[in-house]
Amino acid sequence: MSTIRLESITKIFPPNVVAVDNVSLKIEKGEFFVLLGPSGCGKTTTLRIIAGLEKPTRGRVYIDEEDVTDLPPRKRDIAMVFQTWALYPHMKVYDNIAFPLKLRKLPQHEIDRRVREVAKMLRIEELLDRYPKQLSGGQQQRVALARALVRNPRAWLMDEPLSNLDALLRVQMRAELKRLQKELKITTVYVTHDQVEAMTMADRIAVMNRGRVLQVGTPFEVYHNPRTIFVGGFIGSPPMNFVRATFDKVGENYVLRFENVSLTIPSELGKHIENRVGTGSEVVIGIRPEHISLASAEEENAIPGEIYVVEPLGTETILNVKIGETVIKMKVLKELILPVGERVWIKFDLDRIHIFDPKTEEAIV
Amino acid sequence: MGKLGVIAAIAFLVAVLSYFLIPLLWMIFAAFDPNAGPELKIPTNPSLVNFEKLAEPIGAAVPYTWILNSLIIASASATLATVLALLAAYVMTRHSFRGQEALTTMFVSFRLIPVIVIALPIMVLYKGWGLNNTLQGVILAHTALILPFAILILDGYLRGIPTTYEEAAMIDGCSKLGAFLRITLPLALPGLVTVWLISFVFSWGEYVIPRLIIATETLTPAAVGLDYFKGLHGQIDYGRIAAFSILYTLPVVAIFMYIKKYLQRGVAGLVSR
Repeated sequence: MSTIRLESITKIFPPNVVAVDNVSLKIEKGEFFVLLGPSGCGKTTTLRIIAGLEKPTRGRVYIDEEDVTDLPPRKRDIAMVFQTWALYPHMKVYDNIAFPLKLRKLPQHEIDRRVREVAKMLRIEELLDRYPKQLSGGQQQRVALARALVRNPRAWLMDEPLSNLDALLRVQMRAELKRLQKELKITTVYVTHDQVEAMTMADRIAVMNRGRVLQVGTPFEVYHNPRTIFVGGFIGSPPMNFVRATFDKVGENYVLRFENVSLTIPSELGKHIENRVGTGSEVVIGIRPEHISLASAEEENAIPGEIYVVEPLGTETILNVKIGETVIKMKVLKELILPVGERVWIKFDLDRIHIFDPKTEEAIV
Repeated sequence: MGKLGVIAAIAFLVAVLSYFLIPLLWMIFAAFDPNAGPELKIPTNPSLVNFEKLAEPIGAAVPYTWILNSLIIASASATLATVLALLAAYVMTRHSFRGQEALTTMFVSFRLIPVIVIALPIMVLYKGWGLNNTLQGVILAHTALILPFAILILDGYLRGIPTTYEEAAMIDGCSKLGAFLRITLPLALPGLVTVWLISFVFSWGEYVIPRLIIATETLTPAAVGLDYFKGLHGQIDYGRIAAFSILYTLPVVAIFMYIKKYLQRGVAGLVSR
């Protein structure tokens, strides 16, 4: 178990592509830490910098508070699982797993004992005599994990290890990987673009975009308190709804106006927005699909709209409701399948709305 | 197809096959015919006497030594070229540097220059370096001629092996060089064998360089040695030329047969993702 600390890491690929932009992170002992972001956001480069496969242009990398920035990968005592698994094609499964131990010149019986132990743990004992190309994707994945496990590394680095598996197997391996990590308490840095993977597996998530870390927090925190529009939109399925609105004060009441709608918001929330951006300013309302409900016409703050698209998911239904020119996605019970074009009233849970500044894209509330 | 069509097709095939096979057939018949002449005929009393005669000297050298010289030159050139090409291709595929593209283009264009154009300057330079009339001289020149092509083949081959394997090995505990030697090299073996074979065949058959550089009959390789069979005693010993030609052909065919098996296994078995 180890800690990993990144201090102001910047990576610029020649001529001047900034892949990682001043990233500082601290990953705690035994933590399952996920770097989440769209492709090209710098998450894999960050992982490769931790591994030592890439040298940062600026900044330092610490493992257990030891500065490893200038150490080659083999001196960092970390293991990595690649997206393609990178099993050595000319070696049998046994030799693939034994490879890191052979390089450490362990005695033969010790190598054998450890390979068999880890093979048993991952249920690949009967595959030891095969070549990687004779294995299925799921089996190759297990061998890659075994190779990473066999030498008790200080940390596990994983670069989208599940993305080459089919959907069903991915869900299975997700749970298995999480259990394994908790059992062995190995500090793990896991890179993915799949927010469901991040939410289900992580102790903490760092959401990255364009080389920067936008927010670090538990899955609960990044889901419920997104600090930017990007984080709110990237996490959650379907994603958060965003509506551009004008913030104003009418008498004693604070209101948000968009399309032909005027929402009276709780005064505490109103005061807060007023203090931050002042009345009359443009804001972006963010609201998750599950925080919108159907209402009746006479209810206060009910918003009139019409059903645009209905997406039944089995366990629930996603309604797309058109309000003026804005389409809002909301989650309702699975039984509720309304005809397209039907007039409905919906209601935002105003305690659950997020207000963002459209210029900085950062959260005001 | 009618009966006439079938006959026409067969006639066509026979014509094509004869075109390719008659010279070979003449060579085989003549080699085993003690009374071989320029005409194509089946030996009436076949014997190995032509092969035995190859042990008799022509000028200062026994023809068998020419085959030996060719073996030395071709295997040394092929090995040297393969090793050097591997090193060059490794740098070209695993590192990026300025002028990489230009370098590749240059290699291709080098290969397009006719050998005879380079051979004369080489001869002049060798005079100063004392490499004229030595096997080393031929080996060096052949290596240089093969290299561009060898590098291009291996460059393509190494590019096909993902760098992820080397990266995984480096994380598992290898140095950069160690990862290359333990992982990439075994994976590149079929490519290396291919390059070696092509290099060998080139050097084995190359005529211009040894013709200009080698003056002593004992150092002559087989390609040039074939020349000495004719005209030396005013008449041509067809049987001996044919026997020598068979010996000259066999090693290349044998190597190819051996390596072909290996290549099939190698290519099918090793690199898969």
